[in-house]
Amino acid sequence: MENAFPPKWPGKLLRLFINKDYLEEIEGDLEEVFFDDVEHLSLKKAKLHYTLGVFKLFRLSLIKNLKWIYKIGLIITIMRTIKLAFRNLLKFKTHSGINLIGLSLGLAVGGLILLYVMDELAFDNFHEKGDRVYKVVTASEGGMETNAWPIGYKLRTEFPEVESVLYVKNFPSTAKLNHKDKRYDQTIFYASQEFFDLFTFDLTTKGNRENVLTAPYTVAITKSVEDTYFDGDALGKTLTLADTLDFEITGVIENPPSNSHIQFDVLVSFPTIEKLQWWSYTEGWGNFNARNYLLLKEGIDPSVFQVKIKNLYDENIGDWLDEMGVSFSTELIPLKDVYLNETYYNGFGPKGSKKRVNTVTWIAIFLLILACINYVNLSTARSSYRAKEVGMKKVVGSSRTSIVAQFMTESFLLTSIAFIVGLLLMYGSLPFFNNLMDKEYSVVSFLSLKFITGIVLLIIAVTIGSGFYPAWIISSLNPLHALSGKLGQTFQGLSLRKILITFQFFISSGLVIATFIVISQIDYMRTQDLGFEKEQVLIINATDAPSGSSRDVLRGQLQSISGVHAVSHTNALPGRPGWLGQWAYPEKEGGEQVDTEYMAIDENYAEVLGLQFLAGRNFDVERPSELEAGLIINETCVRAMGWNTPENAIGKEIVSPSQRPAGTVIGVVKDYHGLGLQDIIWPQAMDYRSYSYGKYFAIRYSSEQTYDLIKRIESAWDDVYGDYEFDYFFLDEDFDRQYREENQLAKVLTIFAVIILIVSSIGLFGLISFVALSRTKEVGIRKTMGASIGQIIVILSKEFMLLVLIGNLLVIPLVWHYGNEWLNDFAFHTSINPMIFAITMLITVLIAFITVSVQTYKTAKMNPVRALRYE
Amino acid sequence: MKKTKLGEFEEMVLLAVILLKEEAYGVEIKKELEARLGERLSVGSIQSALKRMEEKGFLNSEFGEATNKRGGKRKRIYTATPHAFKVLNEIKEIRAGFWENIALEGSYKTI
Repeated sequence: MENAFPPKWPGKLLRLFINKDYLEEIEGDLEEVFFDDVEHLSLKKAKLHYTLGVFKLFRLSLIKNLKWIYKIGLIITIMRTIKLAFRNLLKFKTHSGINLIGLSLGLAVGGLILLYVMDELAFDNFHEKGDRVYKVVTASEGGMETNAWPIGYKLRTEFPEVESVLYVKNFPSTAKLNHKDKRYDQTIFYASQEFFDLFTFDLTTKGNRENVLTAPYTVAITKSVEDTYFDGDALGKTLTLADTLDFEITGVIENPPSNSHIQFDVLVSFPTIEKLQWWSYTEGWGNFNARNYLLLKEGIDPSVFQVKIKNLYDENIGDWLDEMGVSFSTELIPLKDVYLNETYYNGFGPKGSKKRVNTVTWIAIFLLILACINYVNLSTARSSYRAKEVGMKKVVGSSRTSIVAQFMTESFLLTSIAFIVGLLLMYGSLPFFNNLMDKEYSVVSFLSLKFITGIVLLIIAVTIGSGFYPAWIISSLNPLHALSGKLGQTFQGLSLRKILITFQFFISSGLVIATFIVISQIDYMRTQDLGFEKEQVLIINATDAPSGSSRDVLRGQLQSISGVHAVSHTNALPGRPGWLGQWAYPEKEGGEQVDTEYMAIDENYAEVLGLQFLAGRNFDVERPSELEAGLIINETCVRAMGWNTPENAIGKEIVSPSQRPAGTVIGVVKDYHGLGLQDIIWPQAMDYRSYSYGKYFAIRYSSEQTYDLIKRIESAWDDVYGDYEFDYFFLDEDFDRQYREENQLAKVLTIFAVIILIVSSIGLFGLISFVALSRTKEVGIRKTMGASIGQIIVILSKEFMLLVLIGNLLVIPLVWHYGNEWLNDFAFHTSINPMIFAITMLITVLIAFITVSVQTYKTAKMNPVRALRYE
Repeated sequence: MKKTKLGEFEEMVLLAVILLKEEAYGVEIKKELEARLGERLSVGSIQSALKRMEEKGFLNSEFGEATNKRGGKRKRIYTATPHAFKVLNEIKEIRAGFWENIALEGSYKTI
């Protein structure tokens, strides 16, 4: 064993702690023992002995600076400091309790948010080549996450910087797959074989890397799909789509981790597209439905490469785009940023929000600052009571550092206790937090090294943030003044305390106002007239059921059910748009291009939704020519096409490069909100001839017994599509789902506003008790002079009320600005009602007043004789 | 025994130092004791006993030669001081005295 050496790190450790005079000898001994061991033990064992040997050297007699420790008795000092700190915490129970509540709330919220933020930021970090992978997107007005088909091909063939380009395409996203009689919905994508070059999704079973996703009609499935359909190995078995198409399984993949922006069940090989539908890498410039990711070669500067590919569209189809009056450019998004990117929609799974991450981070930081402020305020307020202690210590020779150390120990101890309480709070509120944030954290999530490091740093930050200033101030006392009791309540720090209280209510009120603004916008969106009637409409989702004449059969049966007024078969509904962003032109090409929402409807659509016709008429089965070539448009479309009035629009032609929408305008409906109020009302064009694309049956009903009605509707469905799941929902609920994000924001804000308000108020509560105490004598004199309890409460509280008021006033311009900025993201939004400011002011002042007067009342009620005798 | 204060383990180490003469350094002492006591000892336990005894004046020490096996680090060779011999002798005599008396009585077996 010539080349056996002891491990390095224990030696380093040894050099750290062992007395320098002994180092050479002891190191030599250890190494000699090691080389002896190597001769008759395994290298591993010898190394273990060596390491253990190092640890066994932790002995007082061998440790560095041994004498110094004996002289100072550091350990004893530390023990005593901790003991003293404990005594002091127990002595001021209210004070400690308030700090404990504040800090543990702060640490619990801070901890949970830390968990959330770290998780959000760590999305897609697990891909081995992730730092070289980019998502290719098309930058245009609004931004598209998809590209024209040839873009990926060009990147693949014409750029030596590129190692690999991945094509992914939506299958109809979810579809029913069956193996024998097991039939389930699965999330499906087409993916080219580069999928495994770019991403670290591991093939678990014997799936041969070379054969996966290469041949047509083959798929790779996740472990969970394998478990759902098959008892054992799925490799080589088949899954059937829509009872007709067989796919062979050539690979089984580990389930995608939850922190991946790509979530799927089944990947279909790319060559399958060739067999199933028209598609061309080289010609398909007009088809914008390819998703691409690319892997750059090592050492390529992405910013340089980005510039190189920016003009891919202009270089190839520049003329055509100019003619259309649009401009596109190719952009790259680093893989790690795809999840949190706000502009480019993530079509493969969860989408994060940088805004939400920032919002909650700031809330957590503010909450922790507020809790620290409580500590600082209470400690400095209390300092006059501890002045004698500090003075005495200084007289007998205590150094300033040791006094600072003592006070810091107190804050560290309190923070640690608060952390333990906070941990319990975190554990208890985890299900609630998961619900709020749409996550699935468990206690296990607390155990990651990163999280623990984060928490330790948090505790250190809070200890320093809360403890350092008071410790510094208190330790600066002149012992002479401290002992002669001349400090009184005018001790320095008073003005700082005022600023801090103002800041606390600045933050609290700001958050309360923000909450009100969000809630008022949600309320506005809920109550706004949408232009259609969303209540009492039941929708059947028939996406999976076969199309064709059976659809008419079902519609007929549904219409005959009592309680049903009208049934429409359509591909779009408010909240579930049709084909968005179709290009349409008035009459001849050459006019302004109009981005249009194009929908397939039937003659009952307008009736089901209660749409109003401003001009012209609805589709009528009696007029087949209009069914064939007629279009119904909305007011916005009339304006966008440049036709002045609805009447004027009737009989006009619409054409479009993709043939749809195209036809003669036969009717104009009043504008209604096809999307949530975040969005504008799009120009809409509806036709009858695409009727067969219908995905939904929209049923207008009026029935008291909704449950019975649904039963009847379901039995009609079963008659026609018995093999397919009856999937239904209500239009109003479905439409309001678009406000989920706003609702979540409102919930988050409400909860945190309440917590922050509580923390600020208890801080005020603690502080006022000290202030009231120090003014006992004054109160006594005032009472003997005839002041009433009410007057005294006012005298004692008014200063604090003023601070709360100032905090409120200062925050108003800020929230006004950011509130309006937030509201402006909504196409339709309310304006900030100044009453919100007044109400917030009233609430915060009232809460502060109640807090303060509970304490001041106690003082004011006291018998003046006792008050004057005080001291 | 006055202020001699020599622990049992220290006594063993001291005896080993005397026995090993010019070979009396950490690892040899360790080996000697392991052989005699029949248990594995750590470098730390030997070293701390040596350092304590040096402090108390039972041992002197100086650096010896360096060897390859020790990664070029020198050994420290320990020698017992006259004081140590004196104390060891005292202990031995005190113990011997006890045993003499115990053996004379010869009764502890029957109790």
